[in-house]
Amino acid sequence: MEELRSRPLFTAVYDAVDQFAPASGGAYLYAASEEERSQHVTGLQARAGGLRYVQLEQVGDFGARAEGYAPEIGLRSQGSIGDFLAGLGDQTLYLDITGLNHNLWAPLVRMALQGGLALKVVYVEPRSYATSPSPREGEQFELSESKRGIGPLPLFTSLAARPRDTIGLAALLGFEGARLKYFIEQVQPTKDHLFPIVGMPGFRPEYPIHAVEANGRTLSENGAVQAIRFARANCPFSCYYVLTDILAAHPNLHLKVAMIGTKPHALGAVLRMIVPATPAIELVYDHVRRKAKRTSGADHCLVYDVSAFSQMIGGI
Amino acid sequence: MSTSTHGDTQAALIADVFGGFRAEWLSENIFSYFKQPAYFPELETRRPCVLSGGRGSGKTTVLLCLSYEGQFALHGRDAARVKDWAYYGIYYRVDTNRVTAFAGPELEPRQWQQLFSHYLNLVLVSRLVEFLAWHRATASETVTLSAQECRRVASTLHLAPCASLDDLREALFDAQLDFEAYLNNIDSAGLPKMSMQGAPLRYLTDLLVTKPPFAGKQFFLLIDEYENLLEHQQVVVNTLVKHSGGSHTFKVGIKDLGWKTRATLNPDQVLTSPADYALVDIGSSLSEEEFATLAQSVLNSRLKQVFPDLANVVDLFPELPLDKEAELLGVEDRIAAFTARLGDDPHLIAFGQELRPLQRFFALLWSETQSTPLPEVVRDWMRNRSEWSTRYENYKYAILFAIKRNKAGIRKYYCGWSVFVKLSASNLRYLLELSVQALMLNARAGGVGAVPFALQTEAAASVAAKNFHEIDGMSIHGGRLAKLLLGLGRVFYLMARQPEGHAPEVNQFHFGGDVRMPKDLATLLDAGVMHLALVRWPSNKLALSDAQQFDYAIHPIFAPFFTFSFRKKRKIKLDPDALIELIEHPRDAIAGLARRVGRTDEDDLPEQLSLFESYYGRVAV
Repeated sequence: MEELRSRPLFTAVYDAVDQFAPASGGAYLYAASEEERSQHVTGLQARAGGLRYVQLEQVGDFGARAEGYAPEIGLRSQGSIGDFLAGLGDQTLYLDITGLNHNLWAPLVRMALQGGLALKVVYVEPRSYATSPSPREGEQFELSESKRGIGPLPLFTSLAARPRDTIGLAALLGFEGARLKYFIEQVQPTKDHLFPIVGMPGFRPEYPIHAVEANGRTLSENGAVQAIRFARANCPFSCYYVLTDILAAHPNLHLKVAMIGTKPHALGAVLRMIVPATPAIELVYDHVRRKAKRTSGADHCLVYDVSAFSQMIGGI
Repeated sequence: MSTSTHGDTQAALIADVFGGFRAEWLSENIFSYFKQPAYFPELETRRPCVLSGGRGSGKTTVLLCLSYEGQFALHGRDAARVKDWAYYGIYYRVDTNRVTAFAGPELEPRQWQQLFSHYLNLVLVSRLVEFLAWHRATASETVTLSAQECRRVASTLHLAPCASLDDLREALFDAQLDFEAYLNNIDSAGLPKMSMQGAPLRYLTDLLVTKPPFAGKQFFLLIDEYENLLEHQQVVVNTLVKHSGGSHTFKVGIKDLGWKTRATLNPDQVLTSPADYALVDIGSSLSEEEFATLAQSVLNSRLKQVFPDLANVVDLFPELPLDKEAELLGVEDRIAAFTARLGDDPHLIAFGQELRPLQRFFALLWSETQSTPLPEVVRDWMRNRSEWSTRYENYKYAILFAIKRNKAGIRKYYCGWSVFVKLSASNLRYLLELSVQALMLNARAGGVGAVPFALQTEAAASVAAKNFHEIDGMSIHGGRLAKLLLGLGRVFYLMARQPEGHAPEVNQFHFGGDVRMPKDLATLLDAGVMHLALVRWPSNKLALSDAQQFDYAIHPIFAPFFTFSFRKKRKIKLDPDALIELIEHPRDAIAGLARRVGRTDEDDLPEQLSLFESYYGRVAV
């Protein structure tokens, strides 16, 4: 593992969401969900003018609509996304992933970096997560309603693994133990190649414990407790570096990354796949339908300078 | 070395030789441990076969053993014998994360089918070319493709010209990368050049069987986890299966109920058995006895590495007679006042003392539920012995569940080889898990030889718990299935614990034939059967397909977890809404169902359900 000083982080942290104000000029993409934290943009618009705020809305699994932009954006069409981004100008693009589904923000990140835009990703931590009224082991929290099942994210389809590669599964752990089990069943990683990644430090001190509790039995049954690695829960770059270390330690690995933890970790996985392009990584996602009121409150606000990070690594 | 250290070492060794029970985890050992099931020769024939079975039934093991890697290992890694093989199997596991990319609103269904066909051509030809590279490096008699032949193979897939096998390998990989790039930038107006369905495969295998080592041979395309294909993709592969033959054929592994369609691309043709393929249903192709024999063979061969003197694994799991079980459950405490309650009739007392403890317990229960004084019950038994003998026979197993009251510990024993076979419901992985877990617990406890009854039971509960916890991850329906089982399991537990005055051993359910079944619930029930949460069979002998026309039960592997009878006995009629309520409002629904069947939801949870105290709102004892 490299020394920390050669692995800089590009994150601005705001203790409260109202301390954050994006620089004027450029555009701010966001979506409003029923989660309180996603609604901070209303306040933001009042105190930080001079930006073009564009609300996004998902259409089906592979499409999106943008406020003030007539065509439907095809999320599996680079041209379609590129046209949309081109219309936003060439100043800083803020992409607020707090209220966006993975299906929507991940292809935007890819295309923004590919297009050389100055991309900053915004994320607001929740104050708390909804607990289940009748909890089961590993399911103390009630965060998802259902799932569509495993399938690639738009613009992240992987087809070309070399046959007979060792299959690894890096699981970015969250609070829903069932999701890890599902990925293990579907991916069937080679024995001793399950790499759990726990968000630590967590958004709150007790969250890493919840993550381990929710997944502990599965990790134990798969002999993966000793393999747990840690990456700061709200830091995509920490997750990026952990994935880099796993790849470096296993040169013949085809690493599938299950995005079942925090969104910043998911962003780290997306970056690791594309900066630089790394065919040995494959993103796997179960397309959960999130519960409307899965979180309450808003806590820290984080702004990730993804373009600066990408340039530091050497570009997409 | 202390006993426990030795036991731990032995337990670790046992765990090691079973490799986590997954074919994928056994790696090379899978072949050395392989025991040929009775249906294996059917799979080695030249015709297409569909191997159907539940999770853990051995499909992957069998398909891997048909692959060239498997055949090489099974033939003693003898390079000189490769040319003598009758077939060469190419294994391909359907990867959900890839095949689900071939769907969406951007293209017409027919275009997705064409793209998928091309992808499948690329994948299967790549696997064949990998095989040729292996063959070149391994076999004593090698095969070469001329530059012209390589060029022709490449042209069937629209690849750049290739002059050698190595060129072809690289071109195939590059083509997959190009294809990936297209799927990451879908353009309905700019589809890539696509190969004809099955044509590259046909061209290459026809070419190969003209080469001396492969002359007269056949290539088996072994497609595992067929259920992962989307419906329109199964249509594509069904078509390939229908038109296979000659130089290649298909062997498909699929979970029960995983076949979404029998259609082919020709609307006038469907895939039918036996005309188009041989169906090998693992569940029904082996009788329970044949299954038990196969399992013994598998266990004996692997356990010999740990217990060199082992004669037969069956000897390690002695059966527990009912009367002995009653004694272990504390029946004497429950009948302590029996004789005193008979009064002073010496004949009655003498007859009462002739009765075995479990019979006395039965008489007491009967007295309570029929509100008949005990002396009258026993007198009636004395006078109508034949009638009471039948009655007792009907209830003797069921009343075991009612013996243990308000005390911690085992509430029902699950032990004996034949019981383990029944619990597994002919699923090989389950039977291996039960046996191995019991042996490991015994080893850790410093035991040698036969596994004590309590440890067998503990192992059964532990395996049940492990598999219950895995249900969540089985499918997209996992969470709801787990909740359904928790609800049904609790209801059947309450019925088992309170048998007095009710039909014994009710552990199945049905809906009646005329009920309206919500589509979501029908899907959930199908998923439950597919992923071994439930078992089902037709309510009558007609071949039926609707969910409401089956009888259902919780898979018997879970009986020791919830504590009810694993035996296939009696059923109750349930309303579909009652099942939905069990999932969505478990506590109220359990109490309501318990009331409906004349029970109360008062009983504490069995110890093994302690992790679900919050779910049920009850304490485990």
